[in-house]
Amino acid sequence: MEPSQQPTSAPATPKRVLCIEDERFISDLYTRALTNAGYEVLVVDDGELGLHHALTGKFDIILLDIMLPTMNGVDLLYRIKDSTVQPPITGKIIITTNLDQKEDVREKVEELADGYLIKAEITPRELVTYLQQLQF
Amino acid sequence: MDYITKFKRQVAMRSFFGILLPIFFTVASWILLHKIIGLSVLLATIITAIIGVIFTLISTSILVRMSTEPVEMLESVISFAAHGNRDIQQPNLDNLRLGRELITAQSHQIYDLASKNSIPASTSQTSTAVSAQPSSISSESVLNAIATPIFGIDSAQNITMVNSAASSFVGKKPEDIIGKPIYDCLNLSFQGEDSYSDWLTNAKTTSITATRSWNRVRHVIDADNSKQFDMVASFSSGNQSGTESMIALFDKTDTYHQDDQEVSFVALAVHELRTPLTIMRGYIEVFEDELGPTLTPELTEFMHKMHASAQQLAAFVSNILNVARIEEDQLALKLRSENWSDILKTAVDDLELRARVHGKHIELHIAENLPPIAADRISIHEVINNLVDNAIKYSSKAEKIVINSQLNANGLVETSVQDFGVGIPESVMPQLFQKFHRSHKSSVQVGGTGLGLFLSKALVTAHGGNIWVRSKEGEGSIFTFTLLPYDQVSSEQVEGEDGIIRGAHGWIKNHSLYRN
Repeated sequence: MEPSQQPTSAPATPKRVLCIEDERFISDLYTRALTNAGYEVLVVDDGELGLHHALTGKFDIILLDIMLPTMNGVDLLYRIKDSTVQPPITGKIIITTNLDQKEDVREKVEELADGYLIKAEITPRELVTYLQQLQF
Repeated sequence: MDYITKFKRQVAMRSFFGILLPIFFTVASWILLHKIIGLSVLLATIITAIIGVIFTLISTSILVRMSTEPVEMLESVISFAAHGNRDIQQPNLDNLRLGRELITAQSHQIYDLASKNSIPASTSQTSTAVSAQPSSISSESVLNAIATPIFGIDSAQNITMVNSAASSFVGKKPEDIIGKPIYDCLNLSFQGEDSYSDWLTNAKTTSITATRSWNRVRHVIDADNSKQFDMVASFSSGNQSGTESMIALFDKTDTYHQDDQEVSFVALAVHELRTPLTIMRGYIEVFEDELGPTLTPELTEFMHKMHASAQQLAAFVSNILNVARIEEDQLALKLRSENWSDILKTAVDDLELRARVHGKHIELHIAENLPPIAADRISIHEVINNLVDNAIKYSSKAEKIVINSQLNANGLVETSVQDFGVGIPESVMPQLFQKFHRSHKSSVQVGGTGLGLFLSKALVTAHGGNIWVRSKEGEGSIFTFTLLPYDQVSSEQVEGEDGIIRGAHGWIKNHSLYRN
């Protein structure tokens, strides 16, 4: 996969990314790659805190791990997408996990999320390329 | 003359003679001893008395034996009947000297009564009087004592019998269920291909008796409520009772619910393997990007080998997961209309580095006229991955790997991966697409677990295609697979679904990596 060769497409205001990820090395790598590509990144390493930021901060993209301390990513996703959350969260939610879900869980997760990535299958650069392809 | 009177006469007759004869012999002996032999009155009388006593004793014992014989015979008849005709030999009434007719008649009556007791023709509670005998427990009471719902069904699929567990399971009284179609009472859905009615239809046409069991049968009560069962059914044609088949349900709702919530061992192991792998791949990429320009050619080569190996490991980890899915019947594909040329080019791009570090190069020829194909992008990518990986491994010194894709005579998209390496010995050909197989000849210098071809075959088959191999030892191998144009499968498209869901035997696949 080639990195996007169109730096002109970068918006004037940098896109804000919330990275909910408890594996420090992975969040470091993602932060580095995303920052280099012009994104603004906030890393949160547990579920409860992730939920708080997802609901209060205005993020364009939320990278959401599933195996998380205090609250797992699937529960967090249900909470963010709950109809009682007003105004609804508009940021794109991309599941980034190494856990392959059973298909029924996965289908529900995919219904609510905007993407599902297996972290081991992509490099940080490929993640950036993928995020650049998202339609806002 | 009835038997009892006849018996009395027989007894009277024998008693009369039994008493008269000793008297006669005693008198005759006295006359003989006194008058003819000339013994004295005293001596003759003493001897005669002794003879008289002996005769009387003999006569009495004969009389006793004869008159008690019928009673003994009756006793053995009763005990024979009581033992359920098993342990004791049946008494022979022909040897009876007194009252044979009477005893024979009575014996028949006894046997008759005994057989009525052991076969509870009437299942009324009066038969409980003899319930101490195991043979007298009614089949109905046994069925009702079983906590598992059991249904009997006739040839028209109507219920003929339910036990109490079944009627409480359905929530209706037995009389409200019996005679109703089974499908009105049980709303069963089966995982996989063969349902109860499929099996029954088949059994009716091909078998006299048949049994079958199912796991994870779902009984849907309403939208939010369902139970999960293991189920056993048996079929017996032309059963005189009118019950043709039986169903027993074993409630496994809790067990299966727990299983569903659990992350499988393989998924967990794969998760643990992938975390360090993600990190390694990330840092390798950083090194490549930022150190790349400063490295010597040798170190650049090392970097590429590291990168390629990490990539290969990631692919292998996915292989493990997918094989586990196929075995658990959990793999399903979402077939969409795809541009085959794009997929193939992307896949080969990803493999280029791996080929290069092993000193191979991939030649790719794609025909121009290819129609859109029905494919699950990720899965078919894995097929190409595995086939090219094999070609790299088994190429030996040959440098070239050729990939060809074109439309074949049947209108299918046919893609082949050809190497010019060691080839495959004929002896291993039949097992080639099975699991954990690898060529024994080259096992020393060749890695691999033999998951790749097994997986490739399962994935291609789930796409509706075929995979095969042609090979010659020392000259190389060609693996070829076909895929269907989307037009040919689009009739399977479910309204409102974005794609066609196909399984290795049933369900949805892996990660949709790019979901736009």
